[in-house]
Amino acid sequence: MFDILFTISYKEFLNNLYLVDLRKIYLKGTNRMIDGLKFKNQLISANKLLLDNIEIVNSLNVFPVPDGDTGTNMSLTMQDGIKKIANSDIQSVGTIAEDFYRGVFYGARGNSGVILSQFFRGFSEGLKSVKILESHHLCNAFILAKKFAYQGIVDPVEGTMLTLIHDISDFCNLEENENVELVDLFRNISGLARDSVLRTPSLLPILEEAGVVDSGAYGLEIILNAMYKSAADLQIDFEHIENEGKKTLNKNSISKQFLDKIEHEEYGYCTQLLISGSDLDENLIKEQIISLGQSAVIVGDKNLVKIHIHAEDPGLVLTIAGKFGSLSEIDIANMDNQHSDFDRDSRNNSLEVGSGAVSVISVVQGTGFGRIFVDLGVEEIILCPDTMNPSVSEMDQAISKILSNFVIILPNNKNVIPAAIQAAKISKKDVRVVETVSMIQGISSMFSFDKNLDIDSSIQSMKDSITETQYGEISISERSTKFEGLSVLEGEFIGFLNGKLLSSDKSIGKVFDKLFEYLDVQELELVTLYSGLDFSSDESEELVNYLKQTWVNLDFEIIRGEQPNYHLIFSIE
Amino acid sequence: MSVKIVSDSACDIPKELADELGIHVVPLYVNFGEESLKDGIDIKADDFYERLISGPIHPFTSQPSPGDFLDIYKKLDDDNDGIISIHLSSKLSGTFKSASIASEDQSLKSKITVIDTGHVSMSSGLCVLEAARLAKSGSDMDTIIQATNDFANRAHFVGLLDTLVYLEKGGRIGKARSMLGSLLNIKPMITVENGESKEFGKARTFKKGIAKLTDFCNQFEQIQSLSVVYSTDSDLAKEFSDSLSSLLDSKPIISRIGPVTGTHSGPGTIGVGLISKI
Repeated sequence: MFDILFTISYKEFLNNLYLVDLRKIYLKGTNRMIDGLKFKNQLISANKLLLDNIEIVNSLNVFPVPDGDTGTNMSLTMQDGIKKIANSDIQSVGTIAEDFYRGVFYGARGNSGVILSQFFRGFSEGLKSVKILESHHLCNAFILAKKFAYQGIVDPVEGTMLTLIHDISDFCNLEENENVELVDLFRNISGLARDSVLRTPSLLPILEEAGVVDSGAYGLEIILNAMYKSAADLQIDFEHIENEGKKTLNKNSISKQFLDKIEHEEYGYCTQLLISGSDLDENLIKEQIISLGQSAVIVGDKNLVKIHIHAEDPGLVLTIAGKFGSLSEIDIANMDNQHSDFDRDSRNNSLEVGSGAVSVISVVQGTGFGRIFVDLGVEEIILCPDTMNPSVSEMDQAISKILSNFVIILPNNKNVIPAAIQAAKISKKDVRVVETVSMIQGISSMFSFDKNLDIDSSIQSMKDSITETQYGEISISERSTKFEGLSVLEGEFIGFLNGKLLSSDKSIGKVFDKLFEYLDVQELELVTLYSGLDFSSDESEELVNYLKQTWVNLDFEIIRGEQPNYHLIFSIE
Repeated sequence: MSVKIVSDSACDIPKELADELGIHVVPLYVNFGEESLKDGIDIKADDFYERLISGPIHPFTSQPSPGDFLDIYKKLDDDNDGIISIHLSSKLSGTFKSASIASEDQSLKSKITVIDTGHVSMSSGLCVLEAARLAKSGSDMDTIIQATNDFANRAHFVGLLDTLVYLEKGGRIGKARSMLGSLLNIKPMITVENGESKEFGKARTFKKGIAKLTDFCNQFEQIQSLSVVYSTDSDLAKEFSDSLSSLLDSKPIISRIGPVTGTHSGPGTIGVGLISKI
């Protein structure tokens, strides 16, 4: 779908934006002379037209780095050339060309600027000691321009400014050009530049993907076009061109879609799940899910809808899907990891124990937590809707989905550890369990995970990091009770720290105050609060505002964990 | 007569050291829109970070022009036993390319060698400093070239960033890209490998990041030279540097990350560049 959009946008863009309308060209005289003064004016026109089109050229910049500075760099380079010749009254074309080159040589900015300066270096070599420009001089100048432009570059890439320079040089090598009138020659070169620029997307796939022509090539086309128009004494309507550019080029739409696509290719997550409920609106679900990724397949009926989508943010898919009904058979796989594992496998068929990429499976409650684990590099999530008790066979299935032979399981709950150990035993792969008893410990261990380390080193550093973070939960007591000297009333908030019930109060803030008294708060920095399904963002904000008054040296961060059962799960580190 | 050493401002060599060892530093450019400023000359770190944080325009950086290099090479042309021009990774900047173009200029008499360290900031800067020390002690050109390539192979860099935003904005995120997009407010740690930036790890808090930096330094049995780099927090840099002083014979060099490197690393960065002995 995007491909079609791109094709239209860049063709449309070129049709509307292209600076020369050949139909409007008419030549006032045929044998116009170009001396130093006229040549200087050609360069000044080129500089001005480029200056007026900086933004457009910048917006096309996707290669080699999409940092949007090609137009600015080329223009700054040209401006330094102009400074050298602006006040000169020299009559010789060769001297103007050389002075201009000296300026751009010093002014060259960025990759495109350096290539442009090399281009003008060759160009000025070709015009050496030329007083009045003739067609054969110009041909020679463009041929040498190519020679020098390529010289400075270790790995020339076609589909860029270089292609345009190359094409023009080839054209200038044709002998019959020497007899073509100078202005006609400039016109032909300007027209050729247009064809070359149009050709760039077919030579450089990244341009095709982004739906743009090459920015540097387009910048040079603008320069050559202005030089032609100035030679032919045609009016250059600067404002008109600028407005045309603004009208046709929707910078944001092009680059946003392009970047989304790139990111997707590298970092998509294959997300699959079932929504069950009554009276499900398949079309509404489709509408809301489809924009979250690509390759979406959404099918079903009123009671059950199956979703398959390659999403950038699988957590968001789960959050939105969860609003329609209850979710099951959730499967999130990191396609990036799969891809690189696959690469590795195909290169090295016999993986030996102790080498090869390591993948992590995490048992999770709450879609927010699911999203965090995926972001931290977990490849498979086993999402438990109500209680944390996945079966051994569910874990075995998750293990077999992973391509890698080395798997780490994060059970994230005391009760899940035995099943995880069992699953590890029956698997043919090398499966280890990092015995995390809370999702907080799971998150903490992922900060020490490096998929490129061997599994023994990974396990060791993950185990070491578990104890770096303290964890806790807040819930509501279902009945009045006494526990290790603590009296709890029904309906009160209760607070656990590192697995122990330590405080209770009607006010959730006071529960925290009491919990913090068990800690050496001066040594701690950050409290992360993961809010559950029963605790709103406003309530979290209110709580943090309260806690900040007493615990001034702590930073607080609120994240939607979306877990059931616990109002808050938190970490202190 | 001696071998002359040329470098660039993205190597973040402290000015007094560059002056002392006679290193000729060619500035890169920091551009705020069309306002093009020479790194460290037209704009200094304090003003730069203030503009970076609160200014409306995000700057971009660009390499020196071949002409900028030719000026320096010409200035040194008459009196030398060769010129060695040592620069940051060619995969991160076109500086190496500009220097190479200038070095081939027909008008120059000197023998010039341009070296790509494959590093950035002080992991590149330390290679330059070591080369300059050799030059000062009278080593010949071939010896220094060989030694510099050897230093570059033993150079390491790890930076702890406050945020990845600046690296991403500048298009230099490379393989560190996989750290983007997490819900958690993570302190990213990056390293430079094969000339490109790459994820080193991540830390949940800044303190834990510093601990990881310390662990990183501790893994080397012997360290030849070490530098602590920082962008905005000089007190932290001093404290961190003191904590590392037992690892080497001399004191670590504290270096401020200049405007060009700072455009990509952003405020709040701290890191180490080092050359291991083995």
